Amino acid sequence: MGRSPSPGRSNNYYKRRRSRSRDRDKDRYKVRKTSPGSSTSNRIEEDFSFTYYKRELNKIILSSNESNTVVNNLDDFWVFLKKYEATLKKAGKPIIDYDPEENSDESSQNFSKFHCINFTSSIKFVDTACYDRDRKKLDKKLFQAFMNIVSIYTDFKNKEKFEKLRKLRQAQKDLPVAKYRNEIVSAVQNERVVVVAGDTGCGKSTQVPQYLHEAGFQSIACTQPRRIACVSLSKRVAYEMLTQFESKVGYQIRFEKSKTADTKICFITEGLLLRQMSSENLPNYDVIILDEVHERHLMGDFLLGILKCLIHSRNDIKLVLMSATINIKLFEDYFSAESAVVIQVPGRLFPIQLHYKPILVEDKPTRDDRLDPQPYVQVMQLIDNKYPRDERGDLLIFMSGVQEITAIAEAAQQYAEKDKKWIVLPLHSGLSLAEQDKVFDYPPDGVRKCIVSTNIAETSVTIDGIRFVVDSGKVKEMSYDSTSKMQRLKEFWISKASADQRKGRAGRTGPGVCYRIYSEQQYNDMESFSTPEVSRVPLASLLLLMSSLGVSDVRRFPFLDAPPDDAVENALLELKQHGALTSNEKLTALGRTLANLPVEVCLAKTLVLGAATLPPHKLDSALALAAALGIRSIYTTRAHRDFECENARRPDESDHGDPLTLLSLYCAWLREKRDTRGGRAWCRRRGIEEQRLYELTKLAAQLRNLLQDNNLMEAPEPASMSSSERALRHGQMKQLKDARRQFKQKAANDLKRKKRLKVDSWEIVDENTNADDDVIDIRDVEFRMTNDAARIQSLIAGSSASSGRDLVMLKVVLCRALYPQVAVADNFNHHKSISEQLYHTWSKPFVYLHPTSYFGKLPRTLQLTEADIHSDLPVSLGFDSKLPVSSKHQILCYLSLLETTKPYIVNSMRMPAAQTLLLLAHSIETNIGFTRIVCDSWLLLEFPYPESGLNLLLKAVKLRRRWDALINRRIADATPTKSVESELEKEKLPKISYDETQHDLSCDMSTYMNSEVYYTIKRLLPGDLKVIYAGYDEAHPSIEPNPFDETFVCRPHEKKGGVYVTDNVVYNCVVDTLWSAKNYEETYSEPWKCSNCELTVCLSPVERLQHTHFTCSAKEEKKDVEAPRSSREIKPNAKEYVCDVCKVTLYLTPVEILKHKKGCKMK
Amino acid sequence: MEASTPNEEPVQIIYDFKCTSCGIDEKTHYKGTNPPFSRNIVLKYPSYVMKDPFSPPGKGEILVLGSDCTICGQTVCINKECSLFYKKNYCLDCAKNLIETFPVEIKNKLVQIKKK
Repeated sequence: MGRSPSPGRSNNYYKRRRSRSRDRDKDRYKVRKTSPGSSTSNRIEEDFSFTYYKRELNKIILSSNESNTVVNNLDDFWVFLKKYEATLKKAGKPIIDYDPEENSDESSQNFSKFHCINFTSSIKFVDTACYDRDRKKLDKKLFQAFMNIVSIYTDFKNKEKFEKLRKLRQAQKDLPVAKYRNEIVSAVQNERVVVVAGDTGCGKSTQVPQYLHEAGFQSIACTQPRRIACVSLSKRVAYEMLTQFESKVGYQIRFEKSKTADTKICFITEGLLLRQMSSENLPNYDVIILDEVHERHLMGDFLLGILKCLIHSRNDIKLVLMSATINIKLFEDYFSAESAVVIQVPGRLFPIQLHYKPILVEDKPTRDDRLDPQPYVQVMQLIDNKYPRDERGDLLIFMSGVQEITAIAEAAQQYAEKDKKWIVLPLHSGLSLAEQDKVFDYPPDGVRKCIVSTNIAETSVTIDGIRFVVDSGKVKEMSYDSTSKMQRLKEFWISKASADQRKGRAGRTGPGVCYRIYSEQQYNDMESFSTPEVSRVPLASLLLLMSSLGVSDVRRFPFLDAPPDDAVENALLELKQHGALTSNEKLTALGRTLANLPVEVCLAKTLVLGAATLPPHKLDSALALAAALGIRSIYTTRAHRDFECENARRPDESDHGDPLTLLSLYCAWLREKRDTRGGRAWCRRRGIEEQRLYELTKLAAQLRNLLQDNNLMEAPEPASMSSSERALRHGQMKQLKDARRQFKQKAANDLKRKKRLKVDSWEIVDENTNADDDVIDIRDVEFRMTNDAARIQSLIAGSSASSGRDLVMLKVVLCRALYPQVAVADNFNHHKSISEQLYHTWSKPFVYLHPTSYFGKLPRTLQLTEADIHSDLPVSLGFDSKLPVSSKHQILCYLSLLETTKPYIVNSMRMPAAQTLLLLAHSIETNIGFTRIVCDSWLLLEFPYPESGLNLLLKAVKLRRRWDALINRRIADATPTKSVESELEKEKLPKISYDETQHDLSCDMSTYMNSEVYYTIKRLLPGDLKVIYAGYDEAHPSIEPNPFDETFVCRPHEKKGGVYVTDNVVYNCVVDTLWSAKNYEETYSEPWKCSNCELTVCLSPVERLQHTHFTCSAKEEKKDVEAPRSSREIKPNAKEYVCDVCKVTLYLTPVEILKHKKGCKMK
Repeated sequence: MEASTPNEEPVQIIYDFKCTSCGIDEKTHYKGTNPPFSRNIVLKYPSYVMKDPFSPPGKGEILVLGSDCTICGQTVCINKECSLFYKKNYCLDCAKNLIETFPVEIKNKLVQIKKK
């Protein structure tokens, strides 16, 4: 048995210790070859090991009921112990090494390694009473020896952690920004606006918030353009501040926040901070840091403008702008009035060699404009020849778009096949997250990564270890034509700033090389800076948000770069069309509600209309639909190429179009979630990115909360669960939380282990993903944590709208929200192939159906069949149009237009044409006989059967009025009015419940939408429009009383002629053609017999209406009008009114005055 | 799990720790030999201790950063280029002055460090 060890061979100990850093990776415990041996070592059993007592020792350690380093890392500890023992054995030293007798010798001359260790363990020995005859009993003394090893382990762990901390601090100190710490802090303390300019890698994003916090700022907001950056930065900064388990540093993004009352530094998305500005309670920030302002995102630019105004009213807020060293002057000038201070931090960039046109390629245009991958492959070859394999360094190729990436990646892959020196990895935002993450993994030795990326790797994604950059000089960017309301995805030359940014990516970890495929001349011809987003995107949402933030004149807003004037005007027009702004550009109640919903205007409108129109239990369908259209495409790139995916999706496709297909797929996925665990395989089979469906669920839930916050939806009653249900759910939650914990642990472990890429990993993606079905699907776990079985069930019930009235209402709601985004088929589509089907929209003629859309694949669904065409029209009608007469004409209502190779309609839904147009068109014009109706000066509907057009229009007008009233009532109820009187007034009025109104409306709407009417539809060309209107006529027929809207006072249309009979309908301004004149003549010269009374007389269509509406039913109606009036209180807008017929003085509102007039005349 | 950490006291005393040798500067939660947040670890020599910032709270893990030199009282961190631990904690300067009083293993160790 070992006793106090004797000195000797200690040199060895230190030597080995030093070797530690070298082979630490291989075996970090080897180094603990400590302890000089004891001369008595051979007295112990040769093969003694504490591992024999593992069970007992574990028991003692765990029974102490205390948590400490050993308990928390028990497995790790035993690994350590084994290695430690092995080392001792090899050195011929005893394993059992007792403590030096503390009081035996006070002189420090007697060395013991335990004296070098500060730690002791106070775990008490417990006799485990486990006696093994063959072995030495585990007694207190032995245990003490064991405890010494525990102390060594604790010391070792402590040193490890301390080293980690020291390295972290060292790394922080080495950051370029660290030298400017004092300068930055004092600038922020003394000035209003500070610009910190530094290139990527200088550490500004992580360090500046910390500097300011340590300097005493208590509430720091730091904006990021990307959600993901908020999360990762907050994690990183919390780690650096040693508060990763506290909430001092938090984040706030659209779907989540980790911010609490303790939070001092909050990373927040630009959009969210903007919305905080609109709510009256802007958190009490003392510093607002705007990061990455050079990226010039829409929200970032707008935020700059808002903050520029804000710091004038709020003296207590400091503003810090952080940007790359691009165009600093722009920001400096913008804040010149506020005398911004600029602090430039040099980046940490290694020298980069620059080569233009490294490969001589002839500039001959290749066949059908296809991209030639040769130059790119040759650069790979060049690298192979010039740089030895053992010199590390990866290659990053910048291409413009997904197609180009695929082309290059394929060619590169082919080249890599030869000697397996390359791993080719595509990178773009369309890839799944798992695929994207691969670019961060490590290649085996002697193999380089070749990452082919969009400009996502320019700023958003930073990959370490890049030594070579190949720049194609191109980028695909979205631009927006506000006149045709079409987005364009087009390839452009990049800007100089962008080219330099790309080049810089080669010099982050060491000296690098940048190959520009283009010439130096081309570089010199480039624009200095990229076009800011504000000039390239639709502005409607932004302008609406501005209005709701109280920007009185959006045209005079101090933008960093003003957007084009016509873009602003067109966006304002769009907002007016949506009813969000009044004609004099004041925000309406609808507009205010829309601005509170953080999705595109038309989707927000879908929600508001849905909330007003759909019964509460069906509101989920509108939420899910808006969310489905609000997220990025749920389909993977495979979805439309792989035949099997298409087949698998088919049962869930809806022949009503893409939006409803999305909804139906979502419901099917929910059912899958309900019935089985998982859903991942289900999604993979259909080519759907499951992550998007989780996002959809989250967005829908968030929209639901927003609707509730805006009083547009009743908050659900807390679900009443029986105790057994509660117990079940509790058990589930426990399981789920366990699973989540396991996953997090595993993820943490994975992080430690570097992931190695396999050379041919590129091709076997699918097999790999199959294998991971057993591992925990963390998103599924989180989904189930927020959605219990009952919730999933109600989502399914609420979201499905496959038939009947629910479907009609949902479609009408969506269509109204999207209007005027409708398209009609070209007349010659019958004769054309699938890919040549042409459509015309209100804003842009000649567009195609997107090939991946439902109708793009099955355009016949939209065409009339032989049976649909009404060919046996009575000759007596004299109808002479060559266009097909049918009751089955359909139009498409669509979400957006997108031009890639061709202009395409994206996300379309079919609607019955005449019904939809008459219900939703902003302006409807008719001829005298209501047989020719023009909608929005764009489409002409002709009804050969007399009265059929009139009847349909009349129904449409009435439905529209009822619907408008319902929506207005909903919004009015949602926006509490300030005055107490009007509140009281509201309560007094007898109210029909929403349910009832909604139900009645949906019944009538459904009948209306399905009504059978025969007509033709024709798109009017500019030439047609010149001759179709009668023009202004002094002697317009006065329509009094007005059968369309009793309260509406008719007025002439000043250009087209005719009279307005409602806000949207102009009567008698469309000229007649031969057939319609004849038709009118014949129909209305015949005596007409009223079906209610015995009257038989020749009347015009309007006169007939007047008769049935007023004369015939006047008797009953009069009573209705008179009776309630006496009991009604005087309304606030009532005026004194003396009726000149009955000579009575009354207090009436304008509407009541009209009613009274009418009533009097009847008498 | 929570058993080992008593709920945080409302007022937490913070001990500023700054190594006079390498300058590492941190806030620690305890100074002494019996860190309250990990009861079965006892230190031989009073040291600056923080709750381990790299492991979740309530796990009872601690991080010992360093202590005051037993001779001169200067604060030094546990990095071997800043301090020497042998029964007590010494800053490297004091340790060198006292080199003759240490056993031979420690002498060698000090010589090694000196060479650097």
